[in-house]
Amino acid sequence: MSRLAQLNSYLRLARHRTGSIWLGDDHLFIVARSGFTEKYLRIALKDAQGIFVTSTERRTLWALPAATVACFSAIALGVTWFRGDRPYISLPLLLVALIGLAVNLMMGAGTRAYLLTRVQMLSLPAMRRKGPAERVANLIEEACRRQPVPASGP
Amino acid sequence: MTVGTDLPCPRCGRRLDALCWQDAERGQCRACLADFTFKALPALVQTTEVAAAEASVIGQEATCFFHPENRAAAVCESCGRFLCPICVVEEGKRKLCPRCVALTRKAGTDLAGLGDRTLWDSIALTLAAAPLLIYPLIFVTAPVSLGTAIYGWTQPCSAVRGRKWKLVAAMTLAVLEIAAIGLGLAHLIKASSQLKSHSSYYYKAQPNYTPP
Repeated sequence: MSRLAQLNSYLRLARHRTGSIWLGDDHLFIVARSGFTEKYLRIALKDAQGIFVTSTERRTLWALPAATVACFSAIALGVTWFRGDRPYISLPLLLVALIGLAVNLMMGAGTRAYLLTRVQMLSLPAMRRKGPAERVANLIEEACRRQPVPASGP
Repeated sequence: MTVGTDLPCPRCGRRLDALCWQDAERGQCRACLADFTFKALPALVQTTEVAAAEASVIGQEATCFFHPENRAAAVCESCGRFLCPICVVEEGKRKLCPRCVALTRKAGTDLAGLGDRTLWDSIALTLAAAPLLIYPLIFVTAPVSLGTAIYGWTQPCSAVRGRKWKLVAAMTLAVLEIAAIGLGLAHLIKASSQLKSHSSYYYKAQPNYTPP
């Protein structure tokens, strides 16, 4: 369990090397990481107006090299078996590429998520695939619905 | 009517008119052709009428989140709300809204003053690991990594990953690298002194020999 979760009873919604999203009692805590700095942003749930999810080509970009490796290793495997040798390299390589392809497909389409507030459109880190993005959006929506109706003014 | 009408496109920032929406949750921006899905949250419905009323009074000017009649002069560096001069609270070098100040001062949150942090532990570990790829860097990176790790020990670390294992690893690696440098230099000095004594012995043994 991370330090943030231990100290503040946050629920981690998503994590990626570019950042993470945490759900607090009445706010979202967004950690955006770039290089060797972390930037922290807290958004009150009652200020969150909506979540945009746009599609990206991330799944295709990952599938292309994996499929290429799978194709070449399949050809090498065929040649090796045809010659009667044992496929010490091509078979493991083919398995790794196929597993990578399967995982890439299972993770869903590539996405980029944005949180709309009254004054800004925030890019949400760590919501890079359709499945996790939808799950996180649903959790945020549930948390927003649990919030009391905001009073006008400070 | 689509709930998301007149919202900005997340990719290009242009307003999404009614033609962009296929249904209440999906659409495509006519400007950048980005497909999107939109999940409306309760705050959108609650603030639509208020925002429209403000727009009729103020026009296109940004207004304070807490005082809609005032022109915005700053942005809260924690939550991003627009603030008028009345609402700006300066916390150190940061400008925050009253609500974020109250939140950061709440006892036990451990988030006081959080804006951004430099990850000294990652810097130190990267510097310590760099010679594994390019070994001549060791003469520079090892002492710098050790110094960075010692400095970073006293600095606040990541709010998410509070443990200091990277600093410990960087220190260990840097000390090992410095020890390796020291051993290498000692070996070189020893070898050169042995060579010198051997050559002086050779010159003494052959007094008529003149080195080139």
